[in-house]
Amino acid sequence: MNDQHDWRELAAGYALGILDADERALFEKHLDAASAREADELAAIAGLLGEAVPALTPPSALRDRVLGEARASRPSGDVVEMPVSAPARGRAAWIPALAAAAALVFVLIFYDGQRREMAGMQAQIDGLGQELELAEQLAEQRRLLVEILLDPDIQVAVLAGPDAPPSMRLYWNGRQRVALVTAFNLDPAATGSTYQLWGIDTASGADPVSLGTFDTTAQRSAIVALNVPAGVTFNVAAVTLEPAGGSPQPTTTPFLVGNLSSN
Amino acid sequence: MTNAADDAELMARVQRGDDVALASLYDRHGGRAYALAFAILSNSHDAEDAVARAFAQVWSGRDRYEASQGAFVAWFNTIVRSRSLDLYRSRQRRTRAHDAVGEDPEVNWQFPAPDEVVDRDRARGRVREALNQLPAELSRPLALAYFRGMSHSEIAVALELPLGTVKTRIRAAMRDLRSSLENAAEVGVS
Repeated sequence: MNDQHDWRELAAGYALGILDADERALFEKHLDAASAREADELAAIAGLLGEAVPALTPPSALRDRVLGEARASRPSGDVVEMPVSAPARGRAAWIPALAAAAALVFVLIFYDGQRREMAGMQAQIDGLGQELELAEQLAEQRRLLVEILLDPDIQVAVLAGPDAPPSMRLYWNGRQRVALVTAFNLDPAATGSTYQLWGIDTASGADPVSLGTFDTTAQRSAIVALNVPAGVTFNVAAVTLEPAGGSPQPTTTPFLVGNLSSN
Repeated sequence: MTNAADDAELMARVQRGDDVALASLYDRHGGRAYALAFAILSNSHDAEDAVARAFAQVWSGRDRYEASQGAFVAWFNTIVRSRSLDLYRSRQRRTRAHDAVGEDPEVNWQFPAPDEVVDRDRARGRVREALNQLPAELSRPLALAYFRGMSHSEIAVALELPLGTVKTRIRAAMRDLRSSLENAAEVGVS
């Protein structure tokens, strides 16, 4: 196990994640540029092997479970969605190639012999960068919220149900085509479902138009900004409970309804 | 737009917290993820758990994904396999029904040949074809490593081969695959 031949034989096992502790330590101890490159290349191949397995149809409930768990694990605090907000910064250009070719091109181009030594420092930098990006996003979101609310032409709808809480307000900024929704005393949607906001134009008698989906936090509240496509007009807003991902048209009776009026 | 570009765009939206984009990724890759998990776990309930955990990792770790570090499918398959092997090992520890070293030595890449498969995505066909071209002496140890997460020494016991031979064959299998896929890309098979 001590000669060079033996430890180089571990590159594939390293890429597949099957080395035991001693083998891993041996391989990493001798790791040089050539073997690191080979391990990276083989790891890219290992990542593609799953593609060889013919697809199966998973149980339909699995989709709801995946989406429900994702929605439930949103960061704490009010939900603030900005569907067309500025794109994430600092993302590298995507590689528009077949999966296998992309993986192989990557390992040839992006290999950096000193990458492993810098991994710790890079992780710290990444962490700080993510915190900064989050702070910038929050600041931008708050600026947008204030801008929406201060528009002199803002219209407001108070949405309420037949009983007391929950309650909701919709602030409609037609100039920016943004619907700002605040909700209180509203339990988070059940797993596999979501709340969906609808705009209804009673004058035209047209079908309701989806303004977007949202959910509330564990604190039973939400602040959601929804971008509304051009051409959509409405004078009544309503909220229904829909399957995760939303529905083309309401499938349940609205439990919150309100008329839009000038502020 | 290529499938890879579609995935990249969807993942960029996921990174902005768009769960509708996550739903689209599920629609594109959920079936294959489930199949991979099932191939490892041979149990639909556990396969569902593995896929759910994999997507949860994609969602919670979305900020750590870098498109420049390779195709989404390679990254995602690695996650699905890892979560599936976690469950597989956990189940083994729990039941103790089998000796891990001796279990399932016959697991292999038993998939239809490319010309028997109606698959519009030729990239997937190429991977499958490359695997089917491997001789059994290389594909069997690779299958045990990939689908069972077995170590070199465990595979050596299961297949009754010298440890050094197992290491050599697994490395040779992976290098052959790399060469096949590289050649396919060079001659423009897509």
